[in-house]
Amino acid sequence: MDEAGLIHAAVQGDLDSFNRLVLAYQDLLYNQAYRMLGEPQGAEDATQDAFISAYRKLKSYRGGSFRAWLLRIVTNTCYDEFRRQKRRPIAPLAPLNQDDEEIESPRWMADPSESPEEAAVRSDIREALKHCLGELPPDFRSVVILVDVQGLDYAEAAQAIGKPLGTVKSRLARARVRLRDCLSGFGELLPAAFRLVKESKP
Amino acid sequence: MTKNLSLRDWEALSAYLDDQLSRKQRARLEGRLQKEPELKAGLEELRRTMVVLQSQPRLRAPHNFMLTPDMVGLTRSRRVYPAVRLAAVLASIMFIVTFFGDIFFVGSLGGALQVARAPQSDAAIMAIPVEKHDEPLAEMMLDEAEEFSLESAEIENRALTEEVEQTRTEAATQIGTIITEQESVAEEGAGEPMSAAPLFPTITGTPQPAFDVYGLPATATPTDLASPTATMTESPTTTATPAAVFQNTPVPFGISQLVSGMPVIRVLEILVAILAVGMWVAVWFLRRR
Repeated sequence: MDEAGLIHAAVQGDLDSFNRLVLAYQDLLYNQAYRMLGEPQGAEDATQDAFISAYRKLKSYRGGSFRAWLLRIVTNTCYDEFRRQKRRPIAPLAPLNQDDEEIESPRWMADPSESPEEAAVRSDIREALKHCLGELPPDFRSVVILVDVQGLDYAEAAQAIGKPLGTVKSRLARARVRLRDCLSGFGELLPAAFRLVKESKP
Repeated sequence: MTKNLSLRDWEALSAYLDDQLSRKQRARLEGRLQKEPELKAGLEELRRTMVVLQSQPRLRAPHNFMLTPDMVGLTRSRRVYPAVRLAAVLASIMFIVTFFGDIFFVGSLGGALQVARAPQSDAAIMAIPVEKHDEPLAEMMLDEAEEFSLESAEIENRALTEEVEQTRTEAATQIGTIITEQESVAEEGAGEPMSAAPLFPTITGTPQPAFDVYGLPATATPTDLASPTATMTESPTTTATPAAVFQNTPVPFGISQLVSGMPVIRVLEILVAILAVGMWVAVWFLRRR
């Protein structure tokens, strides 16, 4: 059965048909969520929530690119996660011990995931890009991931974010310029082919 | 690193790399690229940035994200749906049975039963005054009532009601005439006081002969008519006119009157029909979910 047939069957309530669509698109949605959120656990949750939401909203699908429609749902799910994190920061400023007293030692302030030394020696381009994407505003991030990482054209990206084509074009250019600025800080860490600043000749 | 380009220049370079410019815009930008080295450097920086982005490997999903019925809340609906569908089918079968039962049973036997019951009740109504009196006139009334009841047994149900009404009115008129004659006779009596026992009673109480669609009395049953509220009492004042005695009073119309006028099987038929329709609506709703 082709994609249109599976969608039609899923709209009628056939969960098996929808699960075949899930298998076809789960990598795409997981990649989008991972690039947006920057961590795997949140990406898994967002992907699962997006598929559940897609099944419930399937009757509102009005044709067009089904891929873009799914990407729009997972992008919105990531936006919801950003808002949730903003409302409830993960790390409290002053953690409490078992007796509900503030921990006075500054040791808790250390970031266990990354030390300054580790950041300095980080040469992996993936990490550099992850860091730079994380610096972008979510609206810019979603567009640059859709076009440059996921490979959507402008029209599909416009459908995925629910904005006009001109907005996509503008946000994409700004996002690329900001990424260029950010990645230039990793110039020596990046492979020669990716270095943005030409080395000055002696 | 290029710093002096405007946002419009960056947008044009970005769209140029994605081949999103029109032919005219493209030609104009390519002319500028040949003349402006900074613009060309900016284009190269954007191209490399895109290469970095596009070089990212596509990650595989760590596990399958297939949905289960529990995740989307289908379990309860799936469990309920067959039961509701079975109930709808059973309700439909019950409706068909009651529908044909109404046609065959009530349609054939119901008419005969009604004809047999109507004269009986009418005779009971007309026989009431006779129980209290031994007067010759009362016997005459009984005879008339029996005649009317015999007549009414021979006609159809619908006509029966009208016939009985007419007969009652005539009987009441006769009674009134006789009473008036007796009054005049009593007044002509030499020196007899008015307190002497009257010859004929005054009918007090107002029987309300409301009939249902089958000619059966709906409010005045034989039991009611035999009760003290509808008895004849002897009184020296005979002011009540017989015409007013049998005057019909308006019967309030409502669901209870409507239902009381129907056979039980028809009420059952309507209830089962409503149940069947409701069940099929529930089946349709669950199926859409």
